[in-house]
Amino acid sequence: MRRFLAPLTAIGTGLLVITVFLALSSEDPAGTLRQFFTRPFSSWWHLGNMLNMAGLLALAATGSAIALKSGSFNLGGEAQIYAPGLITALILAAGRGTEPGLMGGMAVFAGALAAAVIAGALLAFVPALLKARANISELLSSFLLSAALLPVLDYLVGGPLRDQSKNLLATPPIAAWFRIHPLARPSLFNVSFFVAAGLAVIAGVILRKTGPGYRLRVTGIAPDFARFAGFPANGIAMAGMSLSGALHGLTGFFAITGTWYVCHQGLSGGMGWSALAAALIARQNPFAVIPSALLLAWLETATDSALLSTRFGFDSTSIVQAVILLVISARALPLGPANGRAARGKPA
Amino acid sequence: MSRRVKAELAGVSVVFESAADGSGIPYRFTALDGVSLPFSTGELHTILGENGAGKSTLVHVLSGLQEPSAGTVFVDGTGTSFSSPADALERGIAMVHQRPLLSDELTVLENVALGSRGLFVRRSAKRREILELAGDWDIDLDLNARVRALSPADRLRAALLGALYAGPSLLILDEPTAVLAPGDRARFMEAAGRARDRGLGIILITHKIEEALRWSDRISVLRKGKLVHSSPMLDDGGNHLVDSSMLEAFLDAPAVGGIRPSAGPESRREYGDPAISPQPSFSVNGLSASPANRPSISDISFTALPGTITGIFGHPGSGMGTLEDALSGMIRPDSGTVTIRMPGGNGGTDRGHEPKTVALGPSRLNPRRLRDCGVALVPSNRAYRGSHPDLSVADFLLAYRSRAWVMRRDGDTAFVADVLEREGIPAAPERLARTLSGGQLQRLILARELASGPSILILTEPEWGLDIRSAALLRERLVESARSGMTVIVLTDTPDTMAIGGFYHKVLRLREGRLS
Repeated sequence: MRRFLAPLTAIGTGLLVITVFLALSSEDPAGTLRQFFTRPFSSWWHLGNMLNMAGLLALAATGSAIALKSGSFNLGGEAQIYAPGLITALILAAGRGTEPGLMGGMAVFAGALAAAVIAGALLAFVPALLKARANISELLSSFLLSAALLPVLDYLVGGPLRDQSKNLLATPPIAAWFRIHPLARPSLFNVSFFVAAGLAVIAGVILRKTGPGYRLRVTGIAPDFARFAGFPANGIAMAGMSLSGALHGLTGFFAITGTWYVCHQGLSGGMGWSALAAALIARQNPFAVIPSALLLAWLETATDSALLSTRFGFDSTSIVQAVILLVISARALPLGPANGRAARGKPA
Repeated sequence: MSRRVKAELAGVSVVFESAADGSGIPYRFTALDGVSLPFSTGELHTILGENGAGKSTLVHVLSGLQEPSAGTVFVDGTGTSFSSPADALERGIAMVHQRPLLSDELTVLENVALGSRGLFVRRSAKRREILELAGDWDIDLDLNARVRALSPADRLRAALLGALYAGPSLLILDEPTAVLAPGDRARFMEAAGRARDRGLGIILITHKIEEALRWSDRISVLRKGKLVHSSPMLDDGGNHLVDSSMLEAFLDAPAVGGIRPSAGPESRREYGDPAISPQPSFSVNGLSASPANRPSISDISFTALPGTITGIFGHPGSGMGTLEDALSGMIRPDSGTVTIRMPGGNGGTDRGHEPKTVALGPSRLNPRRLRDCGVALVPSNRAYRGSHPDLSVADFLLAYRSRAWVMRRDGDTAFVADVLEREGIPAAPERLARTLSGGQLQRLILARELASGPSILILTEPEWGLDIRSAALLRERLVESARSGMTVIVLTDTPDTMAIGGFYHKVLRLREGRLS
């Protein structure tokens, strides 16, 4: 019971805080509160888009959780989503001449998927390699690599790779047969949500039940012990980061094929950071990544709804999100049972 | 000498609770059970007890590292609750740990002065104060030396200076003499006695009955978390109230479940005869290593035969740590080769029937290859290399069973339960390593290593933190392993009970990085 009580208390506290905050800061407190709590569930459009966003977040968050489990901080999520997204958009836009079918469209689609995953993995592998070879903190190098790439990607999307026939700062759209069909129109909710959920579960099972998962987990907690036990600690750290990047790359792929159909400037739009937040809230547990991503997606949709339909200030939405995240992720109110005081060897 | 009660434990219990296993029932372990004890200034109070008796937990409560589950800690007569060691230090209680946590990159002086109050730091004044403290305790330490380069004994001295610098009225020393060279131990205890005479209260954790009898004003004995004895050494008439047979009787409780011999595989090897094989299974040739800021080793060469126990002794600072790291592949040597003769049909991952010889040069010498060649390693750093405080017992016991793709839950659970039962350690697999005593941890690490079916076993400081009974059992186990044909190599700077005649087949000495 205790394991469920803690997160429920946290969410309850968060909701209480947000209710008080919205009531005090809005000119129409009742309307804002109503919009905040009911709008995300008021139509298939809202609900579907929220689930679609949760799927993308869960996918990248699973990647972040795997990196954290292996003892690395992957702060390059933004570029690891954006760059593979751009590659996906370019390949699928260039493949517009191909016909649907196994040898044509499917091959291009699979090629774009592989390219996105590999690009994401490579972008995360570089910081891991620098750490293993030159002892450069992956926390800094992954962040700096991403920070350096983002303006370059923005330049490419808004400049040489831009679709000149439209006024958008975006690449040409991908062909219709490369688009993943929505499952609940008019929303964009599609199969990527189930892929994300499935991969999160698979990641959780691998970490708990398999030898490689055990070694990755143990290396993350105890790198010296792992090395002494004969585990390839550097290789495991590199594998963890690469897997993390691959899942971010997959997120970029689905963002293009299931949501935007073009690569627009600023594609990642903070998704990498939100994914990291989701992974941290989930205490790096891939199983908990799904509810954690759903929570973040709901917050995003709910605050957007409140912003659009009332005079609720734009800055206020960020504050509301921050307050809830702070309460939810507070160590005093752990989400997972493995992080309780008792489990850490504190007295009962 | 002023003597007054500085701190007192009143009915203090500490219960550890681990996360629930599949049964949904959380595991509870009582480390300390309703202990009441006073600690006075101007008194040297020794706490004795076997491994896992609760000694460390008791002093952790007193030093702010551990909150009690029940009971009260009184300091200067006031019930108090420490939130951290800094909190305890503020109230005049300092602790020197067995393996002190110091900042390796700072000098001794900077480590000692860390956390001192005031906006500005006058190094010259601090140096004077620290040198004065060092003089009081007969400590000869270069205050400008980087802590990274210090031997374990000097690290302890640096930590002691740090604790004394805070001006405590109660000082907890956790097995301080274990890392000191035999000749330095009496000198250290004499200095502690002088500090006691100046009014400092000293709480000494030790396994050594003779040490306790010689230096203590009061002796308390813990067993399985309970206080079984506490009395002054002398009565008002100057008569001895405690003697060694009495203490031995207090300590001589049967171990829970006992320790059954052989946690290793059922059948050892083809030449598992007590007779010693003439061909060396482990040869080191010209091994040199010079890691930065640490003592180097030079041209180390020796061989070890199957069925024998080889001892390598070296005092702190002789390069023992470097030798351990080089032999276990944790640092890359400058030159030299380790040659391992793997027996056919057993030992290592090569299960073929033909014996095989593998030579590992500097670029190939790493823990993974050593383990592939059937070498088991018990490190001196049990807390972070042999295990990790945040790993569960199951996690660190299963290290060598994780090579399979899928970990078999039933087999793994049975393995962990079997090891725990054999070692007589009342722990659930989910129990965190941090809650085990040093001796329990050491036994489990050794059991794990033996269970991997090695042909060569290298142990560093195997007696460290063990009580007399556990040290004797360890010795028996090593003899038994050697009898079964295993090559046993022991690296130690505290030979103690192992040096008892006949234990080692060969003894080598490490002096200034060279073997003799």
